[in-house]
Amino acid sequence: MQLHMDWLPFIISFKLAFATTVCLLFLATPVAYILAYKGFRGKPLVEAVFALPIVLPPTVLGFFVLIAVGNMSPVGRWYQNIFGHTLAFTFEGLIVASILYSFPFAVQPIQNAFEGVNPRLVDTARTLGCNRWQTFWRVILPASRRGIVMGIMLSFAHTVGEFGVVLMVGGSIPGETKVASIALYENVEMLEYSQAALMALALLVFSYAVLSVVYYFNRRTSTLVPG
Amino acid sequence: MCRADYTMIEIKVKKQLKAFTMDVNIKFGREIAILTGPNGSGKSTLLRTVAGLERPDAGCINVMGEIFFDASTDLSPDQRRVGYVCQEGALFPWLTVEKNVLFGLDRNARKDRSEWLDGLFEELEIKDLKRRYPGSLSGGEAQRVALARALAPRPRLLLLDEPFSAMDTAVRPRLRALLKEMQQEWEIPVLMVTHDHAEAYILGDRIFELKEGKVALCNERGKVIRMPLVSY
Repeated sequence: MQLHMDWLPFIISFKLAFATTVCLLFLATPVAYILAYKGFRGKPLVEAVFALPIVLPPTVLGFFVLIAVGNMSPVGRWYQNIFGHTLAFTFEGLIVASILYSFPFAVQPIQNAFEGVNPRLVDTARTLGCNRWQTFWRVILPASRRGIVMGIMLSFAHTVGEFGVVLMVGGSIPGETKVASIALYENVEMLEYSQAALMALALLVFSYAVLSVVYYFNRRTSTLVPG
Repeated sequence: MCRADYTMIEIKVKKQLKAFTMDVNIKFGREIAILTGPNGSGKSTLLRTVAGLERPDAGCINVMGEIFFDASTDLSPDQRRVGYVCQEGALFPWLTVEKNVLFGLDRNARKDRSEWLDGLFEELEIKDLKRRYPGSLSGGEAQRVALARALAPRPRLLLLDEPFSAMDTAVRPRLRALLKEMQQEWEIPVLMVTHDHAEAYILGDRIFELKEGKVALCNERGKVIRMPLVSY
């Protein structure tokens, strides 16, 4: 029995989580802004769509993404025409799936933070010569920094914790789409319990550390920054 | 239509509110004009339409020759160059006092006006607070910082929405005196909302009493028609 751990799946998990989080920051922020500040018809329906990944079995989401990126769909064929292969069973495909899967975990904390910004601060900035864009950068973003950090940490941790979606869309190609949670599952399948235990422990410690930081950060900023 | 008048501020607005229609026509000059009246009489809404934070249904707003609003114009708040101070001061809690005050100035203005800005800090007695954060200020200090922040970009008009109501009654007289002093020195027109009648008559050169969105009474300093006996 060897207690040597294969780190490659962890590296892939972190690479995936990092890429997903960066993309989400740019995608979720404008969506959160619109949901927080704009009223439009059918808004609850749109919000429900964005929240779907929370309740949907990951395999359902994974199945739809697999179909959508495969060569049976127009999007998949379009991608295949440009790059010569489909997104299915590639790292890029995993990024697309992870963005969808972790979307609510990025949008909701940021949206909550935007909704919590004191409207007087926004009004004051406007009268001090800021247009809407400047007001966003100089007032809404700094006032929401706590929610944005929360969104970043939660999307990162949630992506590291993916299983079903990755399995459906990525398969388990070592060095490409075999992430930590899947490597753990395969170890169990092969009755490599010591390997599996190490990986499980590593994932547990990581998730706990991220959540502790989130809660610590939450408490600290709420007591230190008075309204 | 408002006539182009370079010495006066003319506010003539109509706006449908929940309980009544606001229909106001007031005029004042380089003085302290007070909007007073009971809660929910439309004072703050009127102030916000002048700042551009709310849109009237019709009318015109002319500030010394510059049309803020009429049938064909609607300047956004950042184009109006008005100073606006609300009840809680609304300082940016993540910025120091100094950065709060300089918020409305670009880099050039900060440099060109550095001496004048020093004077502003001095005059409002917030020079020693520059490095502090708003969370550590008293109500009176915070409101002086908010006033300095509104004045720093040299606005055409200063709008104050119950600026003293959230603070101790003990510090109010000092702040009122300070406001009066600065107004007289700079000759900046001030439109201030207060529901405190005493304050209205201490500070106001011109007093408009609103009632359900209409001007019920208009008094001028020295020509006080009647001091209201009933307080709201």
